[in-house]
Amino acid sequence: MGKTVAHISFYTPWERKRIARIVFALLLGALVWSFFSNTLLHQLQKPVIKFPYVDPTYWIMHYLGIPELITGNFVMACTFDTALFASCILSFMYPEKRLYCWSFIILYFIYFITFNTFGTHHTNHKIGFLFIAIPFTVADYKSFNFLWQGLRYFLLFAYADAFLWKLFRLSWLHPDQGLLIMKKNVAAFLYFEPNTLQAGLYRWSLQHPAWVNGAYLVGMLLEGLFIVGFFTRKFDHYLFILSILLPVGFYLMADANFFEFLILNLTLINFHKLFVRAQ
Amino acid sequence: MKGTFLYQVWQHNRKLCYILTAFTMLTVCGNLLGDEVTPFFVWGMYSEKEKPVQQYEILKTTINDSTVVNVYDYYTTDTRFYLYSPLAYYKKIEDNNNVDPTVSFLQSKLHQHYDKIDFLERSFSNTGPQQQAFLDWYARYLQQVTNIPVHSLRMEVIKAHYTDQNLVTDTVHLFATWEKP
Repeated sequence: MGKTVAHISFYTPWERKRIARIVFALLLGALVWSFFSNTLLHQLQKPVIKFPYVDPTYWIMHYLGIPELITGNFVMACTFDTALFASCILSFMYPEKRLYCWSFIILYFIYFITFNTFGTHHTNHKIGFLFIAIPFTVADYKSFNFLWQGLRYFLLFAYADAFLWKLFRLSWLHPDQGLLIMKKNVAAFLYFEPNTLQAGLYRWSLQHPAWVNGAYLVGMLLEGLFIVGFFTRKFDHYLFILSILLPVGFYLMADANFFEFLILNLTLINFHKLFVRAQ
Repeated sequence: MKGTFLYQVWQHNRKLCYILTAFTMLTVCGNLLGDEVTPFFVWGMYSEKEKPVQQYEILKTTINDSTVVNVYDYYTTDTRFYLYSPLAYYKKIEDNNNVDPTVSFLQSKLHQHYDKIDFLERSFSNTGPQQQAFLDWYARYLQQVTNIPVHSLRMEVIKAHYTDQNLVTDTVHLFATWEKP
């Protein structure tokens, strides 16, 4: 891993507390968003079809009957959701109390698995919500800083890995790869929303496939740029902007939601400067 | 070497270093094998070569013979996800002769060794009763999201193809119906 850590000035316990408040406020906002999305566990109406696929973690969860137990009983599901909100609020109010952070992580892990399995697709974008809380589970501020940096590497890895998969699978050489991805993912949108501006953009793209295929290649190269972050922190503010642009591209080109992963962008921010300016 | 992240973690706290190294190694292994085991993720999205498709399938649900469910009326992608993805998976099971595609996938990979994980089948696949209960659940969830009392459902498959300019519908056929008992 990069030599960049030598240049890190560690966040102080005071700064850690403020970062925790920002993180848990965002997490609380995400939970409220889930409420309005009708995807909290008590709102799932006792789902029946599951999708553990070939992920042993999901198999274990279903073997233990945890997703079924919680969603199968309305009172249990309400209790679970209340506990999830409470752990998040308490972590926001008392960031130094690690028990609340641990509680949130365990509960959010169960929520993550249950949401994905009954949604019948393993979405990864919510993993940022789970991982971002981990650094706050340690007592000493130095370990917190190392875990926070570890999360930064995790973010860099996710994008760099996406680049490497495309590179080695040679999908960038595949004719019309970008266009075919778009066609597959926006068919329902064009059917249900044919008169919108976005549908107009897709129809224009069908007539100009070079732009869509070019956008796929540009997106791939932008993902590759995250490798730079392993060696230097100098370009973190550019990577921050890129990691906002890429989910916008995924959304427009493939109707894919990757916005929740943005929470890991916090690891690219220099909070020293931010807090000094705020003071 | 001394400037590296893991070396500094090692200097600070060996237990933490072991944990981070193990996480890194397992993630790298998962990526090399192409197998995802939560939380060791594989970020291979859109790297698979897309095959040209003649016809695309779109699922359309109508409530009480009058209200078409347009998932794009809902502003959050999670709502859309829950309205569309389980229904699509239910259809996949139907299309696969009522066998969960995960079972078919594992049988094709493991051959005779599949028997060894047979005892776990209920943990990774949907069986008949779950399939039969699906439409009842879907009606309940639609009622939760739309706030419309659901008495009946019609689920159709629209097959469509692309021209150079637009999506064109070819056929529409009914694949499932549900009536409130």
